[in-house]
Amino acid sequence: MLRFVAGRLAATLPVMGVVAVVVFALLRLAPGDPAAILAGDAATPEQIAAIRARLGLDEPMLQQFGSWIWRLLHGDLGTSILSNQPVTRLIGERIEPTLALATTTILFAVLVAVPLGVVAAWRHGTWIDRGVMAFSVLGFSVPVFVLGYLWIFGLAMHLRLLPVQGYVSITQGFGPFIERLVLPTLTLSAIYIALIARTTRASVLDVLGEDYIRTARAKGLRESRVLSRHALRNAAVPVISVIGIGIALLISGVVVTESVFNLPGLGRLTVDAVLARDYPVIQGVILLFSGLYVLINLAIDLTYLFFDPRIRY
Amino acid sequence: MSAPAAAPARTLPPVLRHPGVLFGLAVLLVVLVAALAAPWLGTVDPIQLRPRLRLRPPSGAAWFGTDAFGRDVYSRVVYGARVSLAIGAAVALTAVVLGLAIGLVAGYIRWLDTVVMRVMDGVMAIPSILLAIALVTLSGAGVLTVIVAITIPEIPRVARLVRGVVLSVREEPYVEAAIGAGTRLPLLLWRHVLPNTIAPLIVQGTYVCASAILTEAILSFLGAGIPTEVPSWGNVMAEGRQAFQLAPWVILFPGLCVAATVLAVNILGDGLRDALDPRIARRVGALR
Repeated sequence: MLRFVAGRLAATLPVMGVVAVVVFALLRLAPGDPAAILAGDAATPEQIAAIRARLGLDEPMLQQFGSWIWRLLHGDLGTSILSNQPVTRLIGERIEPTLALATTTILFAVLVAVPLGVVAAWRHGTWIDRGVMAFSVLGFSVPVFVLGYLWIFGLAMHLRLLPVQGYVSITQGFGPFIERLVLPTLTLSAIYIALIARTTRASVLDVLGEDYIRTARAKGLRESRVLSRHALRNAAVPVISVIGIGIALLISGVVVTESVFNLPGLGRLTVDAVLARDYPVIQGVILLFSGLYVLINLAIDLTYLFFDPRIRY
Repeated sequence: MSAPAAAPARTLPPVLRHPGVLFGLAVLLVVLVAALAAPWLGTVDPIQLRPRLRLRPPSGAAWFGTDAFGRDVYSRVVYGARVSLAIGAAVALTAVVLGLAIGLVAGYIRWLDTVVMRVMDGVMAIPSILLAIALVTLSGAGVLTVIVAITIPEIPRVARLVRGVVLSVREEPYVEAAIGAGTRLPLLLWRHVLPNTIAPLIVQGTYVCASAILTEAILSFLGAGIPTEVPSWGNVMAEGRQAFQLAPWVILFPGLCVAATVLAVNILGDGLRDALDPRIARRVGALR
């Protein structure tokens, strides 16, 4: 068990290593002078030289990489070219809305998608099943921002049920906080619900054909108990792993959703950085999100031990 | 494997009888014809500025209304179909070809396998939109840059799929027999392994195409995509952002086009998956 955890932890190192190399190489291998790219079109030679000196672009490549990794490991993500502030501080200031949106989205998506998937599998071939599957294809196809604007037009502008845009911190009251997260959550969770519902359905469908399900029914268990205790629990592993894979989708969606709803989170930080070509910030956000993705998937691998006692390492 | 493509078919091949495949192809055909025939579909110059006609709602003169610069949204959407379809097709083709090559190498050359797949895992850990954003930021906005930026994050998924097929095929008795008979590696890959990858690759290719059309729209929408003067669906929507409370049509019409096209490609993919080979459902579905 401990050996498995240690081994799994060690396996994340090469992945993070590749992420670091890619992020590092992107800037250095870009066509043209990286310092000139970052400085923008209107930059003076002095400004370009200053950026080159700050990023150490004159040093040999290996030395640059070494000192860059060294600073990373000490929690130094570099300095924003636009605002001259440490990237870690910028991220710290913007993380709350993103974290809030991600949490409400994951919770909402799992609470909606898992029952949908179970019911679709249970009533396999009926209109309920077809409805869930149709919704799932739709969820994959409608762009996040189109959905966001549809919610805004319908619920916020037309029916005036909810605020259009903006963010209120949880420290200023839970009511206004959650009120402004409803539409972003509905928007972002659609694709995630589609993914989880589809996988839950397939996985439960597989399990429902097993002998122990027939046995459970034969001994007179209530159908709800058969589904929750015997079917869902055994179908859990693929469902949980797709929740992890979907984190990548979620991160991409966060960037867009925050732009649509004007949430001052990491997504907005990234978009502003793109417009200003502030590469250190983009790089910092990429490293943070990739690290999160790897860690969440590590955590999910470890939960298999809990959900499926048959898995023993 | 799947339906014999070489035999001259008098009736529709089985794949084309699947309702999903038919529906997807039909919608795509409509979009494709509209894209090609754009100048003859009642459009005006999609980049002509007419400040006096700005933000007009949909009417008989401007079917989808006009944007903040007075440009005709309908014309921009019809011309935008060219950009979206071209990017979808280019990304799907490139990602499939490169992913196939990497997957074959990883699946067949043991000592390279671990290294290549670790690299693929690493690339997959970077959220695709962010990787594309970074690439576009550094290389400058352009259609080619956007294609490259969307293709790179898609490659690992294709490579993984191909590697999986190769690993399962190499255990098959007929491959062992071929190796025993002294078949050289290139011929072995060409004759025995490659045909097994075609069906899953076609299916995965349609999903890549759908996701590329979506990603282009998102990148352009965020201001990290196609140069703004090119009318792409994402760009049309991006220009509608500022005034969306006044003129929702600028975002809604191109948005519905993206949704409908991507939906058609996804339904086509699901149909192909079911019609070509039920066994690949397991393999492709989970990787989306």
